[in-house]
Amino acid sequence: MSFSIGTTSVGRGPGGILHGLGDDEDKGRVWDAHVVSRMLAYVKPYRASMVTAFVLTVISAALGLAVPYLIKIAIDQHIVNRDLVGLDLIALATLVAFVGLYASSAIQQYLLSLTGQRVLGEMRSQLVGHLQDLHLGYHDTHIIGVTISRVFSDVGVINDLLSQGLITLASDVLTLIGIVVIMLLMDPRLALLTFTVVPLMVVATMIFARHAKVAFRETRATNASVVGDLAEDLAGMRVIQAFAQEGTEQEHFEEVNRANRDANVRAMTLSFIFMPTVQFLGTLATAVVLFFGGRAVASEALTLGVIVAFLSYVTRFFQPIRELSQLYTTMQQAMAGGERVLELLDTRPGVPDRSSAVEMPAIRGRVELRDVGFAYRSAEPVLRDVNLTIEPGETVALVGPTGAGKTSISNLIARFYDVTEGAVLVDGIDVRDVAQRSLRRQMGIVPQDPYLFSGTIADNIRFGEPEASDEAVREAARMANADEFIERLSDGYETQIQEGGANFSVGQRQLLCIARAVLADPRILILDEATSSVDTMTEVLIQDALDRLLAGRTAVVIAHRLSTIRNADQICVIDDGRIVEQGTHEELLARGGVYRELYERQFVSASAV
Amino acid sequence: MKTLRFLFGYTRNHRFPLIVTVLAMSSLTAVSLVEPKIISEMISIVKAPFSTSVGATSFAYVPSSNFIGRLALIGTTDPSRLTMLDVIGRLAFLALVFYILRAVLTFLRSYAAHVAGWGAVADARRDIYRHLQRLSLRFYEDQKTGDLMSRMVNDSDMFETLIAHAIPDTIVNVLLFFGVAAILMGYSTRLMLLTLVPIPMIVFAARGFTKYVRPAFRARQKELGDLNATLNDNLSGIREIKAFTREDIEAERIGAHISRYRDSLLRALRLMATFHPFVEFSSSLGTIVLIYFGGQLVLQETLPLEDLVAFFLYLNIFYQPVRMLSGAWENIQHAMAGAERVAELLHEEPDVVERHDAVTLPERADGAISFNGVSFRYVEHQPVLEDITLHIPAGHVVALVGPTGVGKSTLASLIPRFYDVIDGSITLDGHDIRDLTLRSLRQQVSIVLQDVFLFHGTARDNILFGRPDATEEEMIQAAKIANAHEFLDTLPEGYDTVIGERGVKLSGGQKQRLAIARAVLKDAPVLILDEATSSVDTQTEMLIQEALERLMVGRTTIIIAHRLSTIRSADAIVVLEGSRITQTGTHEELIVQDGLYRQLNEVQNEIEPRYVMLRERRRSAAQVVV
Repeated sequence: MSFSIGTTSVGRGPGGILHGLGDDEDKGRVWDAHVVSRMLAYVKPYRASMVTAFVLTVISAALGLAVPYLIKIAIDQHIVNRDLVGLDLIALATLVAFVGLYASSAIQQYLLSLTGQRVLGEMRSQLVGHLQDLHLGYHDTHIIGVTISRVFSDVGVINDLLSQGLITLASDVLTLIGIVVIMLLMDPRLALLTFTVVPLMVVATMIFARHAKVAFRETRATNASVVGDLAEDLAGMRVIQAFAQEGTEQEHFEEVNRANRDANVRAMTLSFIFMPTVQFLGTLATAVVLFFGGRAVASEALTLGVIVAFLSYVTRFFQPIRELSQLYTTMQQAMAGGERVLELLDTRPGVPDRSSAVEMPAIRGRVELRDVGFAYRSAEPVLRDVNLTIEPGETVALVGPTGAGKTSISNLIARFYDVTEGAVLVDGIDVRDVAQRSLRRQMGIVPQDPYLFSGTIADNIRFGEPEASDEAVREAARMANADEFIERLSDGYETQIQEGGANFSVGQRQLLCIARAVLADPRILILDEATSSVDTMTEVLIQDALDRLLAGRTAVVIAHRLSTIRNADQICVIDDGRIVEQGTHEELLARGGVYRELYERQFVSASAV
Repeated sequence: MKTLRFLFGYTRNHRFPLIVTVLAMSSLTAVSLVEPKIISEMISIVKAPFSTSVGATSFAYVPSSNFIGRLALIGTTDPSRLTMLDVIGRLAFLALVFYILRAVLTFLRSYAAHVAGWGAVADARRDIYRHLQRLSLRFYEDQKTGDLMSRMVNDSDMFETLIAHAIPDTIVNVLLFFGVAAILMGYSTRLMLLTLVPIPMIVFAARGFTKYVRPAFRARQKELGDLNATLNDNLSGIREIKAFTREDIEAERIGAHISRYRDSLLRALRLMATFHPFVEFSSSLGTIVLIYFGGQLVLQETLPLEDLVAFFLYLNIFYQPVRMLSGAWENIQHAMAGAERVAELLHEEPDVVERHDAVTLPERADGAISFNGVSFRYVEHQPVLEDITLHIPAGHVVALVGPTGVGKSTLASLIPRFYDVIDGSITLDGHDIRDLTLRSLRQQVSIVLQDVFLFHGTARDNILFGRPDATEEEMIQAAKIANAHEFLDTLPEGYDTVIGERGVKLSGGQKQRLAIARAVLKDAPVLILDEATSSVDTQTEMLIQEALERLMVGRTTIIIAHRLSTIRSADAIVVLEGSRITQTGTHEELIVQDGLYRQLNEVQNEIEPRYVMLRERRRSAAQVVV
């Protein structure tokens, strides 16, 4: 029974180009002063914590380096000289060093995470608030998943840098310098011999880092194809079985699966070559100490304690080097992430309130489009010279083919977008002169494919009026003919709604959204009729509910049902951005123009039970 | 235990890498145990004859009785002729050899373990995939795709964790611990026992770590999931939020989620900041024990200095296993749980099974279909179809009519055996469909569904889906019949344009026509059509209608019908109500019967006169308001 005077469900305004996932390769700069200074502004309030954390870092690095030296003293001065008291003292000193080391690093870590998480929370809240304020045009052209990743991943990597990265950098550099200085002081010759291994380690680390990045990207990519292939096949299992194509699909999956396995093994192999290599280089340093140190001790040029201390310091070389190389990647990611977050934060709402904007007074309901021209992208006008006046309480049906501009007209009345030419007036007031929320608060919008939020049915009906009483919610449901099916549910109004309303039929979703609009009691109603038809009984319920909702309100309906169209006070036929015909059903039929042609073709070919 | 057996079943194909793993692992443990000995041997040399001058021939090397001593002497017949420098050189060289050996063994161990691990993962995924394809659609009814995906991807990954990490780590660590303990005992039982003192503390701290810190991180993960879902919900409904001016309330609501997430993370981090240093600290207590007690023993000359140094060197590898094992145990449990979920999925019995003696239908069936007293239900005690008897002669068009949820789609799904009947039987050209091979049965049936599913790939791939070996001409012919050729031709790369979610987006009408082309090319004698309910623009509508009519020619067609025109032109209309057929006949026959069909028609007619009445009512209401 759906009378569809030409449209499809894709009438979604700007459509077309979505801002994609962008380049996820973080090959950007390591340091971007602008990004860093903007980001540091978030940390500023926590200066005291950051400074304390830094001081604690210095202390723990120093204490970490002290322990091997204490052992050296124990061997050289006390054990060799049989100084029992001194040995007790050293043991005590070591104990103190350890306690200090772990206490200071624990406090430092906690301080950093505390600061980091607070900054993170603030940034995220700010981003989310900003997202709510951004105009619909932004959301229409950005993929939700990508926006979410701004809020999570990008903010996350910035935090990694701000709270952990910078301190790690300090700690690693200090540790490296400390080791070098102490070793040089203990024995310059042996120290220099040992250091010959360091460049090898650095080179090995760098080579690995470069290859690993490629290899791990490959594992991520192949894993994504396993997941993608699988998701697709699960979704299309009916088609696969219907066409008896299990074999072909299986082969394809196995190919992807094997590629993933091989990529994993390859990536792992790299680290298995790398880890032992670096370990080996570390032990090479040990061998150097043993060989030259051993000879030096034999010739009494060196004490035994020095060798033991050297052996201990040598093992500490590698970790800072590896961390520093990781830090390089972290910095790159943080700069790229920071840039993306800033870009989002700096996106100004495309439909801003004027500073002189006033609250919209109580609406009577007269809507006027005066010489309206509009384009989503400047070069492609969507609407031209649209003139339309709707008196209070009138219903106007917009009909016309897909892409004609019906949705755009409704978007302009709700001021989701601003006109490029002319003006939209409500009760004679230009909608650009009032605060948009005060305008929309008095408007009701029922989109074609209404979205239900997770929560209970009552929450969803209450969406526009969070303070409404239970009684008011029930009344709205009654008005919307939704009470009957709601009361049949075992949890009634407290029934939980699954992701996007998946547990309700299209018809039920529409009834709920009508209830939502009824409760909000708007003066002006914008209705995008659903194109997918529901069974006859539900159809009647929806029709009846809409009639009640429309009564006494100004309504603009993007109409697909014959009943709605015939019911309207005015019908506007939109084609290619213009109003080509305007009048009541009877008038337009009599005129014998576009409308009549559409009507006859539709009515004859596509009315259904 | 069952799970373990199941898991080890998957290692069978990877026996060789696993044997290499075990061998490399044991050798690695041995090598790790030897290294400190070389150093202590060296120290015993340089320390002993402090009076002896370097290079003097009077130096007499007395090698330790252990095999390091023996290894150091390889290639010399007369150890007494070695200078001290020679021995140091030899020992340093020996150390180097061992280090190289360790590097090679480490590589071998990890590599072989991962080849086995990822191999098992790939095998498991292949088996799951194969199994999923065998399961009937009934199985998919009550499974969330997300859950299946996670079993397939995340749970099977656990095989790798287990085979390549958890199990080898556990074995290596146990070996290491006892190996070190034995060696240390050889040096000094007393000192070894003293170094055991911090172990209960380490165990305690490590247990605390697994008991409190990990769950806290899991809780954080859950909060993150919640936050993610909330934000997704918010952004999906941004139009409604703006329409109802809920921006501030929403920002606040998500802000609260963000704070909750932050707090759960901070709690986890606070716990970690408490336990982690504690674990570290308990491990370092050993160093203090050594300095204090070990130093005393050396002073009392009950322990040689080189042995004390060896103690220092062994200490690191002594405590490491204790710390690791507590984490490894959790990993194993975790992995076992994953393996169990995989096993559960693999043990799911497919309920549409081919008979052993199933026959293959000859090339092309005539297409006569009979339902003989068919009953069906998805869930016990909730019959969807009861006692359905229906004979469709070859080439006839049958329209299924009835309220939503009445089982029209179910009835159609029984023909290609997506589900099996509970009672009664369905025959195709007189063969019970359960006696046919699934493949030959499904080759006789084409299905064009309302929501068209296209695979990621080119338009060509999608049309050829059912008959990959069709020629170019056949494909184009099919596209022409389906009225799809024209728009396909205008696509940037014609038939080779990648379509679907990640490619060029097609409109609903275009997808429909592509699906029709797919069915045309398949050329099956039986056609199941779920008439599209969502409307497309008039021209498209007519194109689709035309294509469908061409497709229906000469085929037995079952249409789940919504359009009056379709229903009127059907050879027979079947009205379903509740779970039974209540009316059968042509439009003319049914319209004169007192039944649902007439009611449906009447509702349609009744809506007409209401227009005028409603418009009047609304106008009068408006006047009151204005």
